[in-house]
Amino acid sequence: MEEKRIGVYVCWCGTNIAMMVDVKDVSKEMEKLPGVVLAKNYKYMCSDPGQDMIIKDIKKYNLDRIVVAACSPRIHEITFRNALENAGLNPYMLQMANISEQDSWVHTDRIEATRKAKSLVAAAIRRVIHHKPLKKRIVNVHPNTLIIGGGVAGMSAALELSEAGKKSFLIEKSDQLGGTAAKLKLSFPYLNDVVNDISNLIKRVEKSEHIQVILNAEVQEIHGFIGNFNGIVKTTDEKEYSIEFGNTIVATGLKSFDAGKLKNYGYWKYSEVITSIEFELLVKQGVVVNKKGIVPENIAIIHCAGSRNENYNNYCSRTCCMSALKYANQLRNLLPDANIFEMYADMRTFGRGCEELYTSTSRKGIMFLMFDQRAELPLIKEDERGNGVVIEFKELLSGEEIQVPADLVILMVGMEAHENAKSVSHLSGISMDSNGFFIEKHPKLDPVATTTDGVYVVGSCQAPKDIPDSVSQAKAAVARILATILRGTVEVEVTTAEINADICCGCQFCISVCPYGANSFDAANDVSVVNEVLCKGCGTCATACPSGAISTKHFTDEQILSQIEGLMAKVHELEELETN
Amino acid sequence: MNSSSENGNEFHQKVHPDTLVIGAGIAGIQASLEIANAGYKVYLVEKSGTIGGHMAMFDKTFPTLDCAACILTPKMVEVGQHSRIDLLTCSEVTEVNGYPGAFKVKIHKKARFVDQQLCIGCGSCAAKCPGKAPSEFDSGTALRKAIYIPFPQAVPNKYLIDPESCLYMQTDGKKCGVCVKFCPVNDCIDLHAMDEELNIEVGNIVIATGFKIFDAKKVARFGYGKFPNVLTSLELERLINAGGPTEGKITFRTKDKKGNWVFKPDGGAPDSVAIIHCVGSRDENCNAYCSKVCCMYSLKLAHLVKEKLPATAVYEYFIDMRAFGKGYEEFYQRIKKEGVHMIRGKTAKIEEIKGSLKLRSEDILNNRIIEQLADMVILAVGLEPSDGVKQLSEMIGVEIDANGWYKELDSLLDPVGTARQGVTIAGVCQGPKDIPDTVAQASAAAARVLQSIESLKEVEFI
Amino acid sequence: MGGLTMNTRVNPDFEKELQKYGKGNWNECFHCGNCTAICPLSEDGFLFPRNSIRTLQMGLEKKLETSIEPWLCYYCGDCSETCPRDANPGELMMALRRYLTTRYDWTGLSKKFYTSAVWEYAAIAIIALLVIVSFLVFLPLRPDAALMVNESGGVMINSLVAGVSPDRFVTLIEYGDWLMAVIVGGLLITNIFNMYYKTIIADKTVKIPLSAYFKEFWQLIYNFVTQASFSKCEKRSYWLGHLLLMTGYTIMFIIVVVFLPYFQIEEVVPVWHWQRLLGYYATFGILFFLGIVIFQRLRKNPITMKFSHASDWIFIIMLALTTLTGIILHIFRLAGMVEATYYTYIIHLAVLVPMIVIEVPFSKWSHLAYRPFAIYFSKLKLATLKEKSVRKLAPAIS
Repeated sequence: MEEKRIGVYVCWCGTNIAMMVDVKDVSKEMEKLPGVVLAKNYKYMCSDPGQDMIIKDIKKYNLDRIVVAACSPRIHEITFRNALENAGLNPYMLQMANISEQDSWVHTDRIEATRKAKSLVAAAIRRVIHHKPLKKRIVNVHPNTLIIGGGVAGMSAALELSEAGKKSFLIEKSDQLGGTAAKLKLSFPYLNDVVNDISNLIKRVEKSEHIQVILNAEVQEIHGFIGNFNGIVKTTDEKEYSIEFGNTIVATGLKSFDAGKLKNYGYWKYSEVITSIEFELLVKQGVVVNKKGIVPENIAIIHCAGSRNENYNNYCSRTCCMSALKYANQLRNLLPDANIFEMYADMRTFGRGCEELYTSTSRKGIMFLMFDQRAELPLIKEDERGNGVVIEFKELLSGEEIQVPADLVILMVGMEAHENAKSVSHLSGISMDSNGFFIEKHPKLDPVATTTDGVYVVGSCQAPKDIPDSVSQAKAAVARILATILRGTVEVEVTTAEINADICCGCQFCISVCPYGANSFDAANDVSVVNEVLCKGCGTCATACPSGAISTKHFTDEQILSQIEGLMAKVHELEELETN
Repeated sequence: MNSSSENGNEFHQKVHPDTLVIGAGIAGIQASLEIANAGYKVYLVEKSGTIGGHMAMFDKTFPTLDCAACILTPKMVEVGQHSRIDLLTCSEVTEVNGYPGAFKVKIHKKARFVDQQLCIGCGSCAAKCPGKAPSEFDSGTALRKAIYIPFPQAVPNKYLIDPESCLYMQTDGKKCGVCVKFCPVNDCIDLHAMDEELNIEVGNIVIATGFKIFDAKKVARFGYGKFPNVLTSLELERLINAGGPTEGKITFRTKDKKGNWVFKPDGGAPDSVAIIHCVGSRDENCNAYCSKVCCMYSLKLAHLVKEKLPATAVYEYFIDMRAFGKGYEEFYQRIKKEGVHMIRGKTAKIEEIKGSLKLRSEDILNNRIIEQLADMVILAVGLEPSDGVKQLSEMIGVEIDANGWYKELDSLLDPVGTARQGVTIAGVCQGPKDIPDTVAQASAAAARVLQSIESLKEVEFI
Repeated sequence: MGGLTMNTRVNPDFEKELQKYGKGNWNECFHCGNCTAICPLSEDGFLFPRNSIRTLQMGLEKKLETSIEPWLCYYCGDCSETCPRDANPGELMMALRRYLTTRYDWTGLSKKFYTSAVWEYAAIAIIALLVIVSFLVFLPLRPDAALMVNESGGVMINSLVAGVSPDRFVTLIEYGDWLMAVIVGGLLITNIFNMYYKTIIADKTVKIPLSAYFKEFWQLIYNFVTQASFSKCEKRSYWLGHLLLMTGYTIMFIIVVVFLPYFQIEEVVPVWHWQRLLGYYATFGILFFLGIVIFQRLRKNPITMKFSHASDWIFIIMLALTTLTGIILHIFRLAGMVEATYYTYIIHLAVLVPMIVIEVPFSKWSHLAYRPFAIYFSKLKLATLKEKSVRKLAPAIS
């Protein structure tokens, strides 16, 4: 074996690592290992001076392999790969040893943590010896975009793309665009009439030459990968569209919580009890009556219906507080003499102008009452004194057990993930959280991308959201998509599976386990083959292959086994040192 | 969509492909990267000596508790290395002329006094420098030298000199100058470097000027600035951070030998910490608006205090707990289970009694007054528009609201556009926002920019 | 039938009713708890003003009617100044004191006076007229009044009336005083008993041992005389000002009602005489305080003076007129101006009598009595709340 020239860099991460790991000792010890030309430690390897150090060393000492002992590769692998590339080295000649999250963060004994760090770095050194240069793979990007869901989020995305002259397919399940927003009369916090805004938005979408709206339709199939998707869309009247696109935006929106589940509120039992959705319809018609057709005198608005309670949904639906205040204002205008009761848990009016809405609403003779959302919910029962119902609960701010008479009760039903979320997630290869909302790639730094490249989630299908936030997200996804379209190409995963045709026995087991449909069978040669562009390098097929014909690039058996050997060798060595 | 020229008074102009981004916090960074990664040039103008903004100062982020620096620094590094991002630190926009699609912008670039190409970051200068000032990055919890790198992961990671605290500059060159003597690189430090004026032309402007925190001294009854262990949330954030003055230990502010109040690692740990919500927010006497993030960051800080000091009692005094985002309510429930005491009722006043702080609050749900003794009090200060917003808004021709937040074109359907074509807003400068919303908005602003350049849309003018 | 315990029903109309007693955006309160916590007088068992705001917002009339808290507040204004919502909790406590005064008054006149300024003006005018007419008809100026000047040149005030000897005149006025005191006092005492019934007897949650009544009795006297409670407020100057007014007023009241024969005498006593010194002190105390209050109410600053109810102005003006006519009377008398003395005397009484008859049992003045009683009652209740002291400074929170 030719001589390897390895450079090892141990990061202090300020004190994050250095406090628990003796980084100087680690680098000193690593210098002794075979193949290691130099080992250094530095305060912040990821900072400019840290990276410069690596680049200079590569050139000066002719290093061909680099080990960085720092944080998780998820955080800075890209940073150091770029540094290698800048120094003229193939970026895959890097191996990171995670001595932060997997070591210094989780230990309290400095000696033990230092020993662990040594083992981890030694393992990385053994591994990097077997690294091979890999070539970046670049694919072209199809300029069209598939948008699933014709609500405000989906339409905003389509329009933003259209303004840039890019085509999109806007697939809507129902027979009209607009989604939940189309049901609204006013928006919060400024109580503007949105009916025209939304219908104008719809008109703009319909008029755009770059947007193909397909109503009453659902996406049946999606295949491919970033830049090169194709799919089938089917309408209820059995029309099928076969489309090609480079990116996908999932904007399937929300469904409202089923008020019937709330046993204390008697949604099906009392004609006085309606949901916020039903109220929006009433107020849009300009007539507020209960289901008996009576104009109400006492109106109760109950917040958090189905939210923030472990018997229903644990999460907060984010928008209901503001909607409830909006309703109070609408009711005050329509019925100036009615008594309005706003029953809330925490008043979550956090957005711009929302606290101000809360203040101005409180000036309009509305009675705010607080109940314990996590305990037994208020009980709605028939009023013995009057025609309507009466709501009984313990009011928290006064500590009093009280009764609120009502001939109209509006339940502020929360948002839930759409029932078709599961099928959309399978279709587009994205994951859902326990509440059925789609999971973004990173909650903070990548709130609209997903772990599947080229697929974005925007709007309330990612988590409950108001209109402006949904629009923001929709446009954010468009920024990312435009960037790929403008560049025309995109880099895709290189750590794909490889099948050694000589060993493959043609059992096709790999095809059945591949979650991405990347493996197929070459009947002529009686072997399985990998479509590299579809393969995500997850390694499932490699472990499943009974004849050991499949390996994953950059994760070969050799590489992994040497890493384990390195780890154990150091462990033994250190143990022996101790016993002596 | 297509520009029409029915009106004879219109004229058309192709959009200049370069973009100016003002402010290099997470919003400005995100917007710049989105645009640059799409292949267009960005001028990123930042007032201070480094990019990163407030997010770089935080320890962890809610509700996932990932390390703020860990998730931010890769982006900062990317900005620093990006061939299409022209990073202008210590710079401010002083003039904006021209029109949408072709703005002519004058930038005042203050001297850093240290050559960015030559500086090797050895630190010899700072080691000898006698000038000291409170570190902006550490929110004043620590001192920095007059010649300094704002923080170890700063981008650019080069020294700069703060003329306000430099002895040489304060004495008109009569004293000091040791940094030049000890600098191993010739001509690296130039104490007579002049500010520069830069003229650029851009097609779009993204405003991402962020925020400053509410001045807690304005609420005199909390005794901030009077009682040494009444801290702002940002100060605690720096204490908790391993890179802060106490190496991640939560310690008291103590007097050093010279009698200055300082934080140091052996300052002693508090047995009880109280966190007061809504300081400067939701208050007609200060800012009437809700600052949106304080409830959540307070819960996060409570968690971090508990994590560092498990035996320490933590009390949160709140009005309404606004845990609204994805995973936020769940986080709130988790913190409650961790044993943090939640008291509905805002503290009214703080007194110092024998070195201990006494908070008087109403425990509304239990119908009683609590006179709580705490070793340390954290004020969850709200957000305010950063300084200079008014001048900038007038310069660019974008409206701000009564509170000083930038006004978007349409509060409902266009949260990033402004009434001035070619100008978009991103992040907290439009109103308090958490990181995910800021990032989404920044990307959305970038989309608007890209879309205008890409379509080579001719800007319509009347 | 419903459950065993009937929940109280909220009453959204009550807030409108209370607006008659004072103006405030009380519905704006979002219950941060700042006001109760900033108030040094608020303590476990008697939490205010937030509790009172909540009770008002919800229209729990019974609970409000039986609460002592409004009387425990001296309106230093700290709560209103620091209220984050400008809900003005201090002014609510003021309005509630007015409201409670009407609830204690069984005659219903108090409510009339508080909710209708016309009623109050009319009542004052009628009584004033009665006084004036009675004097002019039954006690006219004697024709030789000009002679009624003593050796030091002062007017012999008791000798100005025709057909009545000086001794008899004083006795007549004294009887009048006593009659007024008995009527007014009687009304006030029944009202206080009403207050006692509502706040103590009707409250079934506390059982007050008889011994407590004796043990805590000193609180009543002590607080009446010193207003010690007010001194706990951070703004001590308010307490001093209030004390000055209260003592001045009370001194004059006692002198005029109890010691009239020693006060209203023919000779002019020396300046250092107790009578004149006390009189000057009282005059100064009242005028000084009134001056400040009038100035502040006109400027609507500080916040405690921002919202002036008609009853506030009537009280201030009546008191100011009484004092001013008293001063003028004093000057005329010293200057030997007989006729002026006589007519000023009538005017003085025409202001004083309606002020006392209206203000003491039915209006603002009554707080002088209700306050110390409220403190007394609150101490009675607190004495039965055993755990109270244990709770102080206890960090344990469930």
